[in-house]
Amino acid sequence: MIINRKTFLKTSSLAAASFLFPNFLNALTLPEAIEMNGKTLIILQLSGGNDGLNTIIPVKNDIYYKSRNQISIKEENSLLLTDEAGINPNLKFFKELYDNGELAVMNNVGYPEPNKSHFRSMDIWQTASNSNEFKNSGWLGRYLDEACHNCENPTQVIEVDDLLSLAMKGETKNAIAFKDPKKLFNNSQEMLYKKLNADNNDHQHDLASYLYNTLGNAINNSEYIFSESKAKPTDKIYPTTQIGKDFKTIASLIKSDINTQVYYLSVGSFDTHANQNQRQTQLFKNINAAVEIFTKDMKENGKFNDIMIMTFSEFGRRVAQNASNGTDHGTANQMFFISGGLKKKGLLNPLPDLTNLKDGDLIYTEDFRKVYATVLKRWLNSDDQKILGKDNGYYNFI
Amino acid sequence: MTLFLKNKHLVSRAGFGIHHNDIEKYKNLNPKKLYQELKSNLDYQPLSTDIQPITAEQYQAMSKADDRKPLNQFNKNYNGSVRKAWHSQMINTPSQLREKMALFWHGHFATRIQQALFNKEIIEIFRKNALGNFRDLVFEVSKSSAMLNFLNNQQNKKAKPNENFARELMELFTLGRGNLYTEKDIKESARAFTGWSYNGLGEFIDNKKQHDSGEKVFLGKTGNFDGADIINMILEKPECAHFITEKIYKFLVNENPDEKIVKSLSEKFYKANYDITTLMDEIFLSDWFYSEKNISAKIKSPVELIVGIRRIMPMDLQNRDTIYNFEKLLGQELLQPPNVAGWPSGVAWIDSSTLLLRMKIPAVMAGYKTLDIEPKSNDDINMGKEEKKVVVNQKQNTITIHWESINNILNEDLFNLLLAKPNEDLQKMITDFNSEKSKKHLMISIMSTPEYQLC
Repeated sequence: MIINRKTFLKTSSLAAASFLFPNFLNALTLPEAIEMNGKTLIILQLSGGNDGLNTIIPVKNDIYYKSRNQISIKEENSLLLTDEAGINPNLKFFKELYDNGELAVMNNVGYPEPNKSHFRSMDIWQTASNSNEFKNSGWLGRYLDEACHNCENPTQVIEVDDLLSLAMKGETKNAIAFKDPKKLFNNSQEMLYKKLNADNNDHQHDLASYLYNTLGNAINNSEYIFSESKAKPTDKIYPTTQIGKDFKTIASLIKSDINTQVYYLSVGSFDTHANQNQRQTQLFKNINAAVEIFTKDMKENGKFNDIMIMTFSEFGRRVAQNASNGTDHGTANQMFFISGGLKKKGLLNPLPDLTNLKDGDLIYTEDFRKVYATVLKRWLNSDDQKILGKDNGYYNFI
Repeated sequence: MTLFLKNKHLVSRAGFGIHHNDIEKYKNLNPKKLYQELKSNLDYQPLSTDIQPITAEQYQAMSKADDRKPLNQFNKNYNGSVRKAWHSQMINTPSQLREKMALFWHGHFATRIQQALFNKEIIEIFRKNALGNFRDLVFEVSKSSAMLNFLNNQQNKKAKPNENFARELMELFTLGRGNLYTEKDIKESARAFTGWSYNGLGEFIDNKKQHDSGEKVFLGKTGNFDGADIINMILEKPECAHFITEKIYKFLVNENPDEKIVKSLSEKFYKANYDITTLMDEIFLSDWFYSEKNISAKIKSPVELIVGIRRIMPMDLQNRDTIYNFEKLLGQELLQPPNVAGWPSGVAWIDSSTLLLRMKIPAVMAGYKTLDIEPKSNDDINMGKEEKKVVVNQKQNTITIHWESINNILNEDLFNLLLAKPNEDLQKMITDFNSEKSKKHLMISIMSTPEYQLC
């Protein structure tokens, strides 16, 4: 799969133009790649294991209140979604989204034989593997392999971070990561790198070619991304928190003509072993404020029906609180879907069953890979079975 | 190929690259002789850490305390200290091959836990047996607290067997996925390992009360097998020697294995009853090791890259962690392989972020550039605290290169010295680029190329 850049240049007379107009080349390769349908997916990773039971609160459940003397959230303090379920009061805007039919919640999502190490469970979620299986590529990276088939600029998938997550690494392509398009641009426009890239000779060895291809991509993509980020910058005032800045970056790119279909960002840490509510409150406030502005921004630009924000966390937390007013690592958790284009809204399935626990933990009822399959197939228009390696079935909320 | 290039190739595979004191020596030394030095028979010595370990009893007391903070703090500090001691051994020891193979075994028998005393123990198992016998290695690792803990054999009991260790023993440590064994063999062998556990002090115990002494059928044989029987039965299979040999070949020689050579090596390894030094001799004393296709045919792992830089370019660190943070940012943190399958290798190290960072690090070390990067969060260690940014600039975490002690290097042919396969076009471009600048800049520029990532 490693294409020697020079060979590539020789075989495509249009390739030179592609460095200036990467979309142009992408358009050329479309027959083999996934057909773009104008939909954008934004994945918000809640790092550290968000406590799902204090996010969507089972307000009529005695077991919940008994297990959590100090940290449970009272019915009157929660924002009621249904008779049985309230949402955390710091997610006020999410309640508004819910009322508008722009929020869907899938409860109790997980996988068999759950792992309680942050790192391992995150890898399982990011690679879409089984609990006892180790993959070196991520589900969005494998999506990119398909989306960017034979294309020069793998900017269909972007991570807003300094480093690339495993989720974003494909079998043949890697997505690109940056916190700030300008910083990325400055980093890659080093004179030496450009000279290396320009003078890049025929490399007999695959590895050298691979490295030079990666360098060339970094330089070209960063130019492309930086110029797109300046094309139609958002004029909204976003919060100055990291997540606020990240959403602002995404908003400006969505408004441009960039070919990106998936954005990935993370916020944390939700690893609330002690004094949970204080920490979760702050994080939720930051998320709430950023998502609120972003949603308004997208609505004003007529994009909200074509974007979807999906949240996940590597695991939920135990049903019972611990002695430090926190919670320890658990298993299943809910996922949020925010969009103007949902087919089904509100709570998509019942709240977790607190009477049926395994060693104090929730027993998952929905497999996260079925969620991925749904999103890949019905939102991103791609071959989910090829990307996930098997048929996982689909939900019908998209 | 000059002797110098041969020796440089050898030390980049049987070690961590050329040391700044060895340049003259490498010009005239016979590679066979150099190999003997690299595998040198210096006695194995445990790492000496700058933090004194506490006793197992003290550690046990800390583990039982309600307040987890002192335990977490000790684990963090002592793990850091072990990392530092091992790193400095990789940089300084003439017995390079031992540390190189210890790193291989660390990625092969991978554990990712926080218990610092357990980590120290298993790293020493790798170092002590690095060039010894694979059988000893399998036994010692299987009985180590780190492995028993990581793969849950502590929970593997007669009444309720846990298959985790038995599965990985065959899938990852000895035979390779699905090779010779079935799911039934995993279940049966898990029963044989019931009772293998460690006590409160981290010492191995063969707990007969939890052991299932009944009859098992394993790899077609029937008997009242225990854990030792299972390991021995696996090692009887030549397929095991082949699996290990191929993995070592990929680590030391070339990511694309030459099946004929691997087969012949593995037969010798098997006949030598898994003597690792025999296998090393076969590889490093061969002619094919120096063949064109094996030169510059590997992407340096982050540890190989950073240790390699430190061997050629001695430096002082204001903050010792800076250097391990570089490795972590590039995807390899000693004592913390990502999972039981170890680190991925080859092109898996490279994406646009890590490549640009690799190319920037030499200039950051030299003080020509600054660094300000946020690592991915690691909640297994930080327990909810924010991950600290990795910052290097004129004021914070400064790195000082000892240019004065490598003055002699700057007058060498730096391309020949630093690159596995120097090429004229690159040489011309970099030389032009640095025509107005110092030799130091030239050296840093060469280290900032894609070619420098290869060995």
